[in-house]
Amino acid sequence: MNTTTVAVCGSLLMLFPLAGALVNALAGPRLPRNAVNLVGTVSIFAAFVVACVMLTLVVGAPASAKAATVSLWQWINLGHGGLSVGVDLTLDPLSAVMIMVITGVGFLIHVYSVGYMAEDRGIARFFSYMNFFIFSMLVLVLAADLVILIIGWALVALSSYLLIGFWYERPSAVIAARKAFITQVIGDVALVIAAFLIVLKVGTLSIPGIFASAGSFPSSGLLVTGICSLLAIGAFAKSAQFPLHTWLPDAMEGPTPVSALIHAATMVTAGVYLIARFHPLFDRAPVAQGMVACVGIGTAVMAGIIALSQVDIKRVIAYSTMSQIGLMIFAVGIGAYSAAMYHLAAHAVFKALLFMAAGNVIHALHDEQDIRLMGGLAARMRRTEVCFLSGTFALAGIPFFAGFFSKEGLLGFGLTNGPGAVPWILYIVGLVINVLTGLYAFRLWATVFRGEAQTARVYAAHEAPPMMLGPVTILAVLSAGLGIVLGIWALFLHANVLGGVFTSFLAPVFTTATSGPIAVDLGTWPAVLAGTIGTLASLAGAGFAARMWLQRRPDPSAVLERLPRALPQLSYNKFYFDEIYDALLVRPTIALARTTRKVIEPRAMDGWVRAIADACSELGGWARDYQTGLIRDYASYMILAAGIFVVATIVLVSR
Amino acid sequence: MNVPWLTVVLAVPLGASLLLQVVPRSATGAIKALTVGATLLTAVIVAVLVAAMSGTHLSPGPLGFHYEEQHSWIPAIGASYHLGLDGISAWILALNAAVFLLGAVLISRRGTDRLKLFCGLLLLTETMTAGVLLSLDLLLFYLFWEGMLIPLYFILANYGNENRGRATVKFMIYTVAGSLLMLVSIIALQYASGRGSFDITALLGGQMSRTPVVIPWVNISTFSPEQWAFLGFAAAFAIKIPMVPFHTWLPDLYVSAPVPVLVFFAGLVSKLGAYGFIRFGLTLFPDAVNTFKWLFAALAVLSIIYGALMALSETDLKRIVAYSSISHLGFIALGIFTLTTNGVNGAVIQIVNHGIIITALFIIVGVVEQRTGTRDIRELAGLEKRMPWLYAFFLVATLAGLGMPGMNSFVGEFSIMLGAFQLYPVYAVLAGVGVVLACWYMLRLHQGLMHDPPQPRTEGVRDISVRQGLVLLPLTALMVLLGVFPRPIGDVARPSVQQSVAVANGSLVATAVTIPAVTSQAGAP
Repeated sequence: MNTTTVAVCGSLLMLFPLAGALVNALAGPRLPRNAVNLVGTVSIFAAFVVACVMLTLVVGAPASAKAATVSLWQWINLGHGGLSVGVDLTLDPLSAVMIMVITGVGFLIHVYSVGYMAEDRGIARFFSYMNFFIFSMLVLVLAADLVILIIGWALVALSSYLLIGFWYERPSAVIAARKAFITQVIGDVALVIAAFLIVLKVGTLSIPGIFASAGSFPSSGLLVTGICSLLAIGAFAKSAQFPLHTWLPDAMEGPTPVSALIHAATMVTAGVYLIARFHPLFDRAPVAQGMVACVGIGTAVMAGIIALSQVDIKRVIAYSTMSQIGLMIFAVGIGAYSAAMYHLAAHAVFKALLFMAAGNVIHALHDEQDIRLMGGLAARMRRTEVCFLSGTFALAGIPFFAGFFSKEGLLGFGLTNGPGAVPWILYIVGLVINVLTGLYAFRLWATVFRGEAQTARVYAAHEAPPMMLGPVTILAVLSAGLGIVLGIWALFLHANVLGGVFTSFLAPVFTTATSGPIAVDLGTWPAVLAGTIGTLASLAGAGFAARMWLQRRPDPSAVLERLPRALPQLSYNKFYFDEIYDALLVRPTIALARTTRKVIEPRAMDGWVRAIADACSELGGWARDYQTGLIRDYASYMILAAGIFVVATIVLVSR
Repeated sequence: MNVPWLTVVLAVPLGASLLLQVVPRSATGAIKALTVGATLLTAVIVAVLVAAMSGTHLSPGPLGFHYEEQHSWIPAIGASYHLGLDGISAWILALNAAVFLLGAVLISRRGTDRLKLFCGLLLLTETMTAGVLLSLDLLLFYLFWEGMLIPLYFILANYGNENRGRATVKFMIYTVAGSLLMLVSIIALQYASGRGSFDITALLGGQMSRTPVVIPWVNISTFSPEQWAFLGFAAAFAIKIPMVPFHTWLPDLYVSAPVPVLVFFAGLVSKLGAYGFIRFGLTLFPDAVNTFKWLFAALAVLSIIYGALMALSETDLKRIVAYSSISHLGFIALGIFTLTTNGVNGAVIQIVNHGIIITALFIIVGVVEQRTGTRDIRELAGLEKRMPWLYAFFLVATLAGLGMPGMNSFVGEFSIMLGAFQLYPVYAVLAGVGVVLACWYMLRLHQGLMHDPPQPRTEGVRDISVRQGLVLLPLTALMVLLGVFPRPIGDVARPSVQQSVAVANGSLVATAVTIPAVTSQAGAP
């Protein structure tokens, strides 16, 4: 690839959203609403066009030269033995996939926002933040230096913070924004320390440079395991994985397009990207990989269970996001990088779709988010329901929808790789996740759209305006169509679907992946069997959900009470993580801060200063007592002093 | 023509403050114009000097300078008028010029009583602080260091809120106590080195005895003379920075001082301690610095965490910013005592960055107090709606304050933490805890003022004035610009920092006495 072209395209790609953000931030409040909308959406569309150009660059490049790194400017250079960082961009198949997802799905969500935010007075601020988010995300995925990646990483968290707290007069939104940001900063610190370990070992922070000297890390060594664990902690914070996951449900305080863009499609998948990007290191750290895989699959199960009992439509989808990203993290943990990236792309499509369709519902019900108060919306919002159903099918992994191939692919990969009985255990856990996914996905659809209307508001609901319905429809067609196209391909050409387009496209990036085949061949009988059983599990979950929730019951969580008591309680209370963190981290810190202010500062810190001051005045006071002004006192002091002098002289002389 | 530019930098504010005495007291416009003009002129000269630095070469020697002036002063004791500017002092001098300019701009012509006195003292302070940054002779340095307190005392004692008296007395006694210990060390240094000179270049690299002093009779061996001398300097600098537990003068003083004073006090004066450590601590006492680095780095980490915890629990806006300053200065001190290129470079970068950030924060907090009439964070909320411009500036300043990657403070904190990691990884990890806490208290401050529904106090307040906006705009622009493009500071500081670090790590001989090897076998085949 021509480096100049890459540099120009990369800069343009980032400049368009940045310019959009600046225009709307500075001039937005004085511009007419249409101009604000236009600036906000066109900037992302322009970026999308550039991203397409960059994709064709990568596709057109010869197989041996799929990656290009260009340097824009020197960020800092502290000389010999010091830090040296350049603002470098890298374009390769992996970043090409990411920029396509970010700008493509991002553009549709921006268009949707025009409709969703049509009555909000802060529209200029909103688009400014949204464009800035796209910019930050692009910095993150294009960065070719770890420090620049960290900058993008943190700017993404910043935009997320700004957008979660967009409605800043809502105290709950303000607290949620702060919580999200602080959690992200914990991840940032982990990344920074990982960067220290890397730079002190290999002497560079340039990502290609790190990979070039990846061989200097002894395989399974303590150092590389430590680095990868720290990177993973950063990824967990960003991707809302246990134990840094509690911010994501609260982040639903932001406007729905924000949830669709940031907390479903792009930002939260950055952790998956990070691990995939750093796979040359992770491949050398099997312990860290195992930890990542366990956390991923554990989070997937936990979030699936929680999603079953939540009653806020957006929170249900948020937990399903957490669960799906858990699967992706699991996939990168077992080395199925291509499968993970494919699920990332497919998930971006269908999860954005679900959020935006949910947004239509919330909009139609005037900001009602409690699913217990919905029901029967299908009659009034037919097209939204069809789109939502398409997303639900994709989420549950029903055959020939987008999620099917990706999910079966990565579960199948797990089955065919790994030592001893581990693959079977993982596969069984995977089946459990499939059942859970089917259950919560169809529970949501059934309680929102089917059954009896639970409030009068439902009767007044209207279908969303075309500005909102359009992007939803496009994504619905994509999430159904993508799968169908791939399915036909698989059936008639009998080609290796996942090993086909997507995997061979990403293959140059993951050449160093040590473990087994890159993806499953759907043509082999174990894969077919694994896929069939997986699908049956999903269908079982879906069918069970339909049976339970299609006839409207007063409380959709009541069904769970047939289970042992502890489980629904845990699920409904999100396993008490918020309470545990509050008790273990937040309260002790605040108590410590209070004690510092009330006790340590005045008593100890200022205390020793005042002790000296007091000692001085004591000394002065003591000396003053002898200044009596009486001649006889002074005479006795003189005699005393003279006596001491004489005695001292005698003693000293006689020695 | 060979203009003594460094002397000019000192002379301009001094001359202006003298000139001010002939301006009638009632001509407030002229007084203000003269003050702003003089500080502006100084700023321009300094800017040109710094900009032209990359074109000049370092003077030879283990410590090279880009600009140097030397005249004999008191030959009998070896004191000379020796000024010099290198990569370490260059940006701090630029910061010095900038914060006094901002302070001068921010003086309210009608709101300040005895304007002439105030302006004169402000200009005098600028000369003194610039002198501290330029002096290469210890006696001259001490003169400026103590001289700075004279105008500062009159400013602090005369302007500010009703608690200023107590706070000022505490500050003066505290700093003078530290300074006197430094004076003892300076004299000891001159005496012990046997060179009969106060000049830093003559005293370089540890001239004092390194054998421990033994207390007679009880036979307890204590620190070596070099270590004692270093501790004397350290007392003065640690109090000035201030490092916990020598910080208690700071919050009270910052609360009582008016904003134009805080701009240059918090923005610059507190950095002089850090500068002193780099300039004199590292180069004059390499052995002692290496002995005590773990201790001072630990105190720095303590400052980071302690300041953060205090900022987290305070309810007074100015105190929150004051303690955040202690926490950030802890980072700077930590960078210095890593004795690594990364750490010390980071410290220099962070001195400049923190000067920019803390100035902006105090201006913002000052505006909020002026508009709402309260400094209690619990009575404030919802200002974003009423003050969108202030919100925008405050957002940038908050992010810079919490060390956001992409903002100016990130590059400094990153290098400092990298340096700390090279020294003791656990210090870097603890500093990382400080970063998380910084995020917490800065957001508490920012969100507490800006978000939630407006409260009675914050109904109907006006946004910032154009003048305040014009002051905040360059500050916030610099925060972003130096975050995206931090290279200039690093490039200027780098050569000088490397020299100082080399001296501190005992490679003085290697750098100073690099005689080209004369090959005795020149004739060999």
